[in-house]
Amino acid sequence: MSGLLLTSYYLVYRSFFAYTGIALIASGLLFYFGGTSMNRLVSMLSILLVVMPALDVIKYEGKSGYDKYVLTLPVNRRHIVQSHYLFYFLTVIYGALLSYAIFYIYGLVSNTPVDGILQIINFGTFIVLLTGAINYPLYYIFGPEKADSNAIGSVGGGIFVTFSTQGLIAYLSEQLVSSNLNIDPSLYVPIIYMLFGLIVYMISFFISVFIYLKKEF
Amino acid sequence: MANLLEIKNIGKSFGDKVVLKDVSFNVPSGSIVGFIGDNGAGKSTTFKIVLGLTSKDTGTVKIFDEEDINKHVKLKERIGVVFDAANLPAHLTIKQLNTVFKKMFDSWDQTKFYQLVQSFSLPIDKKVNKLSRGMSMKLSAAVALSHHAKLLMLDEATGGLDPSSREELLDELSEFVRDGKGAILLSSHIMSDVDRIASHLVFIKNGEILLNEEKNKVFKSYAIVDIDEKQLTLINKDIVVAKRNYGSYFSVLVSDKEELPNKIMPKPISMEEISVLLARSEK
Repeated sequence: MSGLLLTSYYLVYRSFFAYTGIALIASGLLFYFGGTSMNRLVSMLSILLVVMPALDVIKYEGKSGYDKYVLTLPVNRRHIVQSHYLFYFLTVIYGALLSYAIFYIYGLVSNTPVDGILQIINFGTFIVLLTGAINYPLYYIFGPEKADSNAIGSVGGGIFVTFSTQGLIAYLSEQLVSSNLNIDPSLYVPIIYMLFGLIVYMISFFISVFIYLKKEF
Repeated sequence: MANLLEIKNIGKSFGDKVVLKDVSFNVPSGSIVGFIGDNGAGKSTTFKIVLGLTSKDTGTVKIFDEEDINKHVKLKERIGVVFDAANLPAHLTIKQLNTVFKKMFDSWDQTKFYQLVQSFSLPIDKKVNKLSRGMSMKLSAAVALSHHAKLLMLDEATGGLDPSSREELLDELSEFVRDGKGAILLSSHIMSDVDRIASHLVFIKNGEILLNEEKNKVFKSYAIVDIDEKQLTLINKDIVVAKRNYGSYFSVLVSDKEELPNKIMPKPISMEEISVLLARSEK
């Protein structure tokens, strides 16, 4: 597994640095022109930008034929899917930390503390987890030729699902408030987003394993 | 001699198209089996089935006496594979590949890898996608030879190599089987390569095995004869391996020249001639 993860890292680590730079510049511009009204967009964009190279990993593997070659190495198919999902998840964490750092620095520089950073970042993280959850099963079905359209479609799908489930998340949050749980009520929404995102991501993983085990090369 | 690879009666179809029909052959230890056939004959599909990349419809494949390689992942430590393209991760340098494979293979031999990289004159800081086809094929071969594999499966591995690199690779392959413990399944279009290093010949056409024999026996007992229709009737059908109709005469590959009628004189045979005759033969 560590060999597979390392391959993914070597394939795209230069792009990570480039996309991190782009995320920082784009966030700076959004804050400069839009102020705190751009919070959600900054969060989503910064996480999404840094995970883009992770989505490219399977595209590069497919285009060089490594997706076929890797099956001749001492790893099983489940490990391969696992490494794709884990690598993407690690980049999502990196994106979330970067996003947090951006908000923290913005708060320091502008002297206007950003309220509810956790909620904003969880919102962005949720969209990006959904993007991965949609992208991988589609990739395993349609292959590297459709990788770019899959990625674009997955981002769109992630945003669409996030906005269309906002009402449901708000409803669940109200239910939790009325249940008098011993948790800070301002954390309900981020926790629900995080749990929902992780559950969808896990379900997507099992679907991908099922598809990949049957895939012929 | 134990078989490192046993293929028995495998069949495969894609929709209505039958690509493999009852394919059977073995790869004994110490042998280099030349797997010959035209494009689309079924060589690559056979490779993919053996390596578990594609499922088979019928038959069995045993590698090191085990069926279903996907359930015995550790067996892959002992198999080195080279496809007809490098198929290595394109953006990695040779140095990074070494680091990755060190983590993937318990038996990765870094010293051997760098020794091969040096002898093949490969630049260690260059990315795989910046290497020429010949260089990337040599790199692929170096990887296959660097984890103490016992079975090498090479699908058109010598294609695209310049003559001196091919010579170098063929020497490595001959060395690989010298101790009698390893074995190689080598598919190639380059008959001189097969002729030079193979100990066994397996010829496939339209998904069917037409010839499966030790090379020495082929050159000792087999013969090609050019004969007319009347002479053809005199030959025992059991020894006819393949025949090709040239209109005024037939070219026939027979498996035992001693059984030919006295009046029919066999021609000296070459790998190239056998290969062309088998590829163009009729039923």
